[in-house]
Order: sequence, then structure tokens, then C-alpha cells
Amino acid sequence: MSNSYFLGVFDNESDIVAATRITRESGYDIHDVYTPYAVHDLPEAMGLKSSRLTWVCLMFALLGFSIAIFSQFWIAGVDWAVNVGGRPFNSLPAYLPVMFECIVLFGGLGVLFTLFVRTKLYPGKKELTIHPEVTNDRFVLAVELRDSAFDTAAITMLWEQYHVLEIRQLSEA
Amino acid sequence: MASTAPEKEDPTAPAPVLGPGQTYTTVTQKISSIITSRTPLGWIIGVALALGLMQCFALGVTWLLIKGVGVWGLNVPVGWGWAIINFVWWIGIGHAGTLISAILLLMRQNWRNSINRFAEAMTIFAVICAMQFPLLHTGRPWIAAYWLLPYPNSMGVWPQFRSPLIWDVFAVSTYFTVSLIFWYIGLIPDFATLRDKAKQKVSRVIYGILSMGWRGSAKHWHNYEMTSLLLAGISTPLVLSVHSIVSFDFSVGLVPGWHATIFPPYFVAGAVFAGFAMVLTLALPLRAVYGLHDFITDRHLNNMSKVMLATGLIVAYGYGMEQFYAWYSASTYEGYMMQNRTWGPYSFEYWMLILCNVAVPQLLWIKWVRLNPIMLFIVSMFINVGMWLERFIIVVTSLHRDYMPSSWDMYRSTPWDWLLYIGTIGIFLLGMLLFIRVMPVINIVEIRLLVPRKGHDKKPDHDASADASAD
Amino acid sequence: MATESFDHPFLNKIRTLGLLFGALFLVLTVIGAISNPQQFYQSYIIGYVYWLCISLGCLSLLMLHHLISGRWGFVIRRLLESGARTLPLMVILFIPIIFGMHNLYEWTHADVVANDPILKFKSPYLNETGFISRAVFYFVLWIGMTWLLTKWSRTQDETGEPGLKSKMINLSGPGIPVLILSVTFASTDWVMSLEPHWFSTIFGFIFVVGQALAAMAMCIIWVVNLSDADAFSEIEASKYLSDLGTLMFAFTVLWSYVSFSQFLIIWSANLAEEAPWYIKRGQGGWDIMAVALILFHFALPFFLLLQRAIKRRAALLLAIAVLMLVMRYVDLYWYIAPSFSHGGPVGFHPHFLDLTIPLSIGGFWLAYFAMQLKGAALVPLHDPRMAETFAGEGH
Repeated sequence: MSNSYFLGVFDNESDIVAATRITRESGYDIHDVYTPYAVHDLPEAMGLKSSRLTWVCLMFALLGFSIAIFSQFWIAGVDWAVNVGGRPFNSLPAYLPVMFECIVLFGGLGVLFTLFVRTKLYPGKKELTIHPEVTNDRFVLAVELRDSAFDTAAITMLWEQYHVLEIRQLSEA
Repeated sequence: MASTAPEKEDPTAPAPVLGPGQTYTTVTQKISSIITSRTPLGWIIGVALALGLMQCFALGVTWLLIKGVGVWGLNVPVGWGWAIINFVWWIGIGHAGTLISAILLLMRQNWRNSINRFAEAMTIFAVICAMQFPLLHTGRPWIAAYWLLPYPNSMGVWPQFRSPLIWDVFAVSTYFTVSLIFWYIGLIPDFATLRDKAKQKVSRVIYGILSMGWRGSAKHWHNYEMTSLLLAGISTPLVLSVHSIVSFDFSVGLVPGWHATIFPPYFVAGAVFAGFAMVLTLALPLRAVYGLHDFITDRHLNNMSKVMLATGLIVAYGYGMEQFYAWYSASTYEGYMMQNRTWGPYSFEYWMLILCNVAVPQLLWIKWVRLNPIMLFIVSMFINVGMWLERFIIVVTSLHRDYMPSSWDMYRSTPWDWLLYIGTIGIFLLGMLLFIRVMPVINIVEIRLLVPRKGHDKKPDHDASADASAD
Repeated sequence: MATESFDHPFLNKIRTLGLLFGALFLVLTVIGAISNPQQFYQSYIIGYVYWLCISLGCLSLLMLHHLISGRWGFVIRRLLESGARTLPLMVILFIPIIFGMHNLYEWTHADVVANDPILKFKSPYLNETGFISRAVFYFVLWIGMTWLLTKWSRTQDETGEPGLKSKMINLSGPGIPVLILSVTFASTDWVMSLEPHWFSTIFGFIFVVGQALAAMAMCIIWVVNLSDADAFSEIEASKYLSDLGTLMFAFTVLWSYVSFSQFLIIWSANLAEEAPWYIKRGQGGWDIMAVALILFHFALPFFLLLQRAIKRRAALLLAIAVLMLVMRYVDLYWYIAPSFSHGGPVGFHPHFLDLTIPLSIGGFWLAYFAMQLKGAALVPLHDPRMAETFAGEGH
């Protein structure tokens, strides 16, 4: 499998956002955009859907809640009910702190796990170097280069309006 | 216009959060140079000192495991001594890290960007130090996990879920896990920067593994930002809950001096107070040694001092309320506890505590003190000591004379208590020093957000408004 | 002073309706008071404390705004100032409490105190002279701080003198601790001592948080209704509604946190001095109210305000703010009303005065508030911090 990309390198946030928007609107397929920090307007310019991680987090939190509530009631009220200072076996107020901690623990671990699965990141992953300075001060727009009919001149013209610094072609083995 | 930091005419306007003239490249270089430059002599001396202190820990633990917890100064009325004092002290110190990284993120206070990484690292190492004490106080720490985790023992009995001590196990382990996640998530893009800047193959490989193949893809950033926000969202109540649960260890009990409803907010404020003092204690020398004045500016000192002043006042409010309601309760035991605390055998410690935590921090009302690193360092040291004394007073004076005069006794620490306590300071220092040497001590990515935007931007500063509100 | 003033049809409507309803419910209250004076005082203290809390909440948020000066603060500063300026009205409304001391506070009865060692012990603090002189002291403090802060703020509108900014900041710094301390003692005097044997060190803190919550809800209601005023459209005030919603959320969570902390500590210890306070409030109809508090003072607003989409919709936020104001009353009712059991079992016996009194005070409070709001421009005109704050617009 081989993918080819056509890259435009920019040096600031507003240019990359504007260039991304116009490129997408002109009908090119944007592969991805690479930036040294999270640019807030980019997802919208790239047409990305809003992240659903909040719901994932909520689901995991609910899981933590259920496990904590169920296990505390079962442990302290059913499996081996111990009378502690005359408190009822059903000591809901005393179960809330652990319940809360479990909500947070499950929510936090769940969202971390989902992030890694969604972004397919894992320790030791090797990814194609798009541009050596993309983790420093360069903003790179990558467009899918599917066939030979790709009009490189037109896209170069388009990007020049937004002060593109450098144009490259890149192939992934 | 937008290419330089905006000059403000108003002399009272807040100082900038980033020194002038910084660009993305200078930021990357400056911060990674701390790692890539030659090892400074001061660092080597620091590590030697930390390792020396850790020998105390090794010695203290060895003797403890041979003889048992009897080597500590515990006795019958005072069954909780330095172990819980140190535990609470360290946990409290950790809280500033979470406050800075989570709460200030949600409040869009972008001055936090240059101190959050450092403060989060402090949280991690402080919690590690704190965890030593509950583990060691069991006397047989290798089987402590078995007692603490929700797993029935051979008689089929489970841990006691109505006890705040088991809440503590959940709170501290959750706190440690979530703080670690938050810290690591923040580090991933910076590891990627270090990987791309690395000159040696070894560091490229190591940072490559740690950065998980991060390339700064906008699709990744999109989910990454959401993750940070969510983690900040859950960390905020978490940080409140952890020290509240620590305070429940005392307040849920019946001992006069422990059982007070003010404890949760008062402990949380005390934790933040102590934590910020520790951040300053470490950040001020760090800034001087590595010349980080462009990143840790006067603005940071000023803001951190104000947080310390505010939380210090809440703590003082707590002391005042304890005094007033001990009298107002009209309970003999409450009244005697307060009188004993204030004028009894530990009154010296009590008044030292008032000096360190109430009197000295009032200097922070003065702007000159807030902006003077040396003064600030001195005030922070007072607070570090004062917060330790606070826990000493709460634990010891409440226990040593409670309901039954026949069992009153005095509490004296032993050298083994000292060795363990000093030893954990060694662990903490070593952790921080190693962290400074191998990881970006300031969040490079978030500092990029503070760099004035180039060229054609309409928005001069990402959070100019939130920025002004930080004052 | 030729200060700029502000006018809006909603203000006039509130002023007229406030006076009208205030008077109407006053008539009903007077009828109720004549037929049952004891009930009058019991209901009065609840209604009074409720509205006083809103005034004081405005004062505390005002000082908080001066200290941290976020954008939200400039939007509601004039509302907060007007809210704090209702304090002189609250002084007048305090008079019935002085008359009703014997009906309300057990410790004012010499014979009861003589036979009760605990009350005898507390009498250096809990006595009539102390009670009244402390009240005078609190009001002087609160009104003094309000007077200075609002005077400077209005002078700043006229002259734009830059030094006034620092004056307001310098007063607010020590002002907040002073306010928190005075509210703590005021809540001890006026509410906690209704059950003079009971005590809780977090009590004052719960009041401070509850006040801020009520004041924030009140501000949201006004901002939504005044959003078409010129001054508000200029700074696009409705854009900051979600910030205000976030603050209301934060105070709701804080309220739940301090309330639950107090409950858990007392419940776990189960001491004879403290637990009866909750036992009383957990039976005979009060338990239903407690559950209502958990559901509508915490759970519902918590889950609603968690969602950004809801905080951005003015109508929904308005509804939540109204709910919070209602629940603040329920909370205070649940705190105060069961105190009047005098040993016997407490039943849940609501009286029509429990409604007419807060509504009557509320009518006058709102009318007075509207008049205060008219006295100055709706948004501060020359605060140097505003330019900085609103400069980084639009993100």
C-alpha cells in the first residue's frame, strides 16, 4: 500500500487555517494537518466532527459508579455484613466517597484508553515524518495525491495566497 | 502590532506571562536546552545530597522492618504519630500541582502554562512520598496491598467501607493514577519535540517510544484537547475530594480536636497553601539556576503569592473557627482540648504554627514581598514548616490528652521517625532532579500558545482576556 | 452627582410589580401576624435571612470581581452593586427580629438559661445586648464597604480617575475575609442559635457559599431580562451568560460539597450533641424536603449545567436560575423551620406566612433593587481594566 501526499508548509496559525478551509472548499481531499500545538479553529476548517469523548467518559464514569455502589452494598451488606458502631448495613453516606473516587478513576482511565485507541497511538509507534519542524514551528497541510491528474499548479497557486513557504511531495512506503 | 507583546501604559497593569522576543523556535530551544546542555555542577551536588538523604530512608525502613513500628515514638494514647503527619503533609503538597494543571486550565488562566508541568511532577513525587507512610505503618508492607485492596481475607472478611481509612486508599490511588495520566498526556507532544531535536540515537529512541508516534496531527490534537479538558474536569472535584477524605480520617472520629465539620474545606485550603509554598520553594532556585526568567515571570510570583495569601487566610479562618466553636460548644472536652493546645505542653509548637501559617504569610499583602524572590522563598519555607506543624498539632495534641486523664501521655518522636521523614525528602528531591534532567520542565506546547502570533492574525493573543483576569 | 442613569421597561415593570405584590403580600402577612404572632416571627426569620443572603451574596461577588476582574464581572458589576445597596432596606427589615427575639431564641429567656448549664455557659456570647450590638456592627461593616465600593465605582464613571481602580481592589482584598468572618458570626447569631445547643464549624462557610449561589442566580435572571438594553448589547452581554452559568455551577457544586461534608461528619460520629439536628430534619415530611434538596439543589442543576449547550441558551439558563433561587429558599426553610419544635416531635407544618413573607420582602427588595439599578449606567464606563479585559474578544 502506498500513499502519496502533497504538502504545503506554513509558518503561522491563521494562514494554515485559511489555507485548509479554502483547500477543502476547492474539493481537495485533506489527509491531515500537522501543527506544533492545538489550533482551535482547525477542526472546524477541516470539517472534523466534534469529539464524542465526553460521552465515552460519561459511560466509563457510569460504569465506575455502578461497580462501586454494587460492590459496596454487596460486600458490606450481603456477603459479610459487619456491625460497625451500630451503623446500618446500608450505609449509603459512607459509601459515597469511594463511589466518587471510582467514578473519577474509571472516567480518567476510560478516556485515556479511548484516546489511544482512537488516535492509534501506542508506545514505540513509528509514523512517517511529515516535516522535521512540525513539532517546533511549522504548520503542514497534507493533501491526498491520488492520481496523476492531480493539478499541482492550481493548488500551489491557491496556497501562495496564504504565504506557503515550501511545497513538497511525500510518499509513504 | 500583534507581533510584539502589547505595551500597556497603565503602570498597574499585570506583567506579561512570557518575556518579550520569544518565538516558537527560541521557546523550543530554551526549554530543551535544559535537557541537552551539559550537566550543571549544581545538579550533581543536588543528586548527591538527595541520594544521601535517601540513605536515611533505607536505614529507617530497614530498622523498622526488623523491629516493627515500635521503633517509632507511638504510645497508647498517641497511636498516630509522624507517619500520618508526614502522609498528610506530602499529600497536601501534591495538591498545588493538580490545582494549577486542572482548575486554572478550566478557568483559562494561561499564566499557569509555564508552571504546570513542574507542579504536576511535584504532585507525582509528593504522592509517592506520601504513600510510603501508610504502607510502612502496616509494619509488613509487602502484604499491605492485600489488606488494603477490596479482597476478602482468609476469614472471608472484606475491608471496612464505612472507614475513612479505606476511602483514603481509594482516594490516594485514584489521585495518583489520574495525576499520572494527566501528566503523561501533557508530556506526549513535548516528547515528540525532544525526539525530533535529539542529537543522540539513544535519546531519539527513548523519546520516540515515550511520544507514541506523535506527529502533531490535527485529528489527534482534536481528541487530545478534549481529553485534557475532560481530565481537568474530573481532576477538579478529585483534588477537592482527596484532601477532604484525608480530613475525614480525623473528623469522622470522635476525638475532640479532630471531630470538626470545618475540616474538609480547611484541609483543602491548607493543602493548596502548602503546595504553592512548595512550588515556590522549588521554582525560585530552578528559575535562578537555569535562567528561566522569561517563563517564570514576576506575574507568576505575584499570582502564586496571592493564591497563597488567600488559602492562608482560609486556613487562619479554620484555626479561628476551631477556637471559637470549641468554646461555643460548651463541651468540657472541646474546651479543654483547645486550652491544652494553646497553653499546654505543646503550646510552643502551636504558637510556632500560628507564626508560620498566620503571621508570616501576612507579609504577602505587600507587593514588594510578592515580587522579591528571596523574601518569597523565606515566606514559603515558613509555610512549609508551618503546615507540617499544623498536622503535628492536630494529630498529637488531640490524642495525647483526650477523654480519660488516666491514660494521658506525652508523645516524643524517635530518630527513626526523623530518618524516615528526611528520607522521603530525599526521594522527592531525587525525583524532581531526575525529572528536570530528562523531561521538559516547562510545557513547550502550552508556551507556544503564549508566543505572540505572527503576521496576519486578527487575534493578537489567544487568551488576552482571561490573561488580564489573572491579576 | 450628575451620574449617568439607566432605564429599561423591565426595570419599571419590576419596580411597579414589586411594590404592588410587596404591598399585597404585606397585607396578608399583617393579617397572619395578628392572628398568630409566634408563627409570624418563625416565618419572618426565614424570609428575612433568605433575602439578606442575596444582598450579601452580591456584596461578596462584587469584591471577588474586583479581585479577579474576569469579563463576567463587568457584565454584572452594576447588578451586584445594586444588590449590595439593598442592605439599608435590610436594616429596617431587621427590626421585627429584634421584637421577636423572645419568640425565636430560647436563650433570651432568663428562666430557661438559669436551668440550662450549657446556655448559662454560652451567655457571655448569647445574650440580648450582644446580639443587638453585634447586628449593628455587622450592618455598619457591610453597609460601609458597600457604600465605599459603589461610590468609587460611580465616581469612576464620571471622572475615569485611574486611581479608583486600585482603591476598589485594595478594599476588596481585606474586605472578603472581613465579610466571611462577619457572615459566619451573623449566621451563628441569627440561625445557628435558634437551636442553641447545636454547633457546627462549617456552618458559616455553608452560608457564604449559599449566598454567592443565590446572588449569581439573581444576576443571571437580570442579565437575561436586560439583554436587549443598549449597554448590554454593546458588550454582547449574552455571550457571557455561559460564564455566569459556569460560576453558578461551581457554587452549586461547592454548596453540595460543604453540605455533604457537614452531614457525613455528623452522621458518622453520631454524637448526641450533634446528630439530633439531622434526625429532626430526616423525618415527618422533612425527609421529603431533604430528598428534594438533593435532587433539585444538586442533581438536576448539576447535570444540566454540565452541558455547554444548555448554558448558552438564555431561556434554559433563566429557568435553572429561577430553580436555584427557589431551592435556596427550600434549603433555608429546611435549615430553620424545624428548629421551632421546642423538644416535641417536629411535624412538617407549612403556614401561608411561609410564602407571603418572602414574597412580600422580595417585592420590596426587587423594587428597591430596580431603583438602585436606575441610578447608574448599566455597565461601568471608565474602568481601565475593562478595555484590557474586552480586548481579546471572540474566542
